[in-house]
Amino acid sequence: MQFAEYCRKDGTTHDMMAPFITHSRRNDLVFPEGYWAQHRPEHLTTEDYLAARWIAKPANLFDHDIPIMVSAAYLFTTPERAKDMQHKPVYILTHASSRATPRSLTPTLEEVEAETAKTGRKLYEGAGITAAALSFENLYDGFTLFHQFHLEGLGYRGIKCGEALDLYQTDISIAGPNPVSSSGGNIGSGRSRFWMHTGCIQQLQGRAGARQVTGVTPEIAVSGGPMPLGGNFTVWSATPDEILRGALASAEADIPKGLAASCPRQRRHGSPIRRKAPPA
Amino acid sequence: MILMSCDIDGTLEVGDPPGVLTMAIVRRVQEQGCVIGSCSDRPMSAQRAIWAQHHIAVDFAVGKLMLPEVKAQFVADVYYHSGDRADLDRKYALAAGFAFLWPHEALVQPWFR
Repeated sequence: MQFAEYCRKDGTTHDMMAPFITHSRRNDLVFPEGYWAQHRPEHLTTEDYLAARWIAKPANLFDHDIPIMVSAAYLFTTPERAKDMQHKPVYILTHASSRATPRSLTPTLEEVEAETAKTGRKLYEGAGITAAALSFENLYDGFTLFHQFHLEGLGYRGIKCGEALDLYQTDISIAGPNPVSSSGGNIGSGRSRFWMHTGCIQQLQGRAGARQVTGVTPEIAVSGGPMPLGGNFTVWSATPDEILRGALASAEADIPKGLAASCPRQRRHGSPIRRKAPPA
Repeated sequence: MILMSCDIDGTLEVGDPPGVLTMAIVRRVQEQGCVIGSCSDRPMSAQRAIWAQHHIAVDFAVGKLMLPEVKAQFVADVYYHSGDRADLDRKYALAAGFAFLWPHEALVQPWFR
């Protein structure tokens, strides 16, 4: 419902989701633990996505993740204890929760956008960073039509409300400048609600294998969800925060603060979204 | 002329779960001159890949709601769809003007043996 309103307001369409869907499956097919990689190594094309039947319009069959049986375990400890472990540790810069209650049974678009912007503010304030510091993201996508709300709340790559579908039309692959859901997420790998965390951890450790992002240097990432109103989110770093804060202090002096502090609807094209440089 | 549409998962032997209709049977049906293809929730590209893997050149491979398009595209005396789901296969088949066969019913059709 929020997505229908979202498209109506911004003049966008469900078809614009296709790059996100096809990239998610592509990322999963190089995620050895993922469902599709293990059991049905089949790509999903734009034609497949656009021809799929509606489940609840405007969400079609491939906008919903597949239920699977899976588990994962993560070990949390102090940086001091982690430094001598076999694998390179990753560091949690902050975590935040959303616990908003909608006025009615289903949140309105306005409630969704206000809450995701609030979550973005909490994450940036807690981590001491701005949107410009994010190397990549892995936010919830089990209902794919939620993903763009999370992105816009964070101001990922400088986007504002109504601009995420435009971002999807850029190079959002792991080799591009705007990697989106590099883990393949729930839609790419099956419903676990934790691929996003695993994906961030492995990327920052340099252990993502064929899924490793190459278009950006993996330094800081964000994961979490599921719901725009109701979720838990984490900002991860390849570097301990005391070192990171020192490095960012000078680098961010010129970056406008609070990119996600508000979300004015002014759909635009271009500027803050990193597009690939034209060939020389 | 008979047109036969098959669901995949729970219907064909290559489905997940496997069904009772084997690819050998489908091949024999085609050899008898029937128009054959698949109508499944599997991505269309994945359906085509399955058929190609078994060296069967189907006439169509479409999504679950596309039986009306199949009917419009091919002229046949009778249109069948076989599947394992009442809510997805039977419902949409009947709505599109197809006769519906459960996979075990399809197996005993004279032209299916």
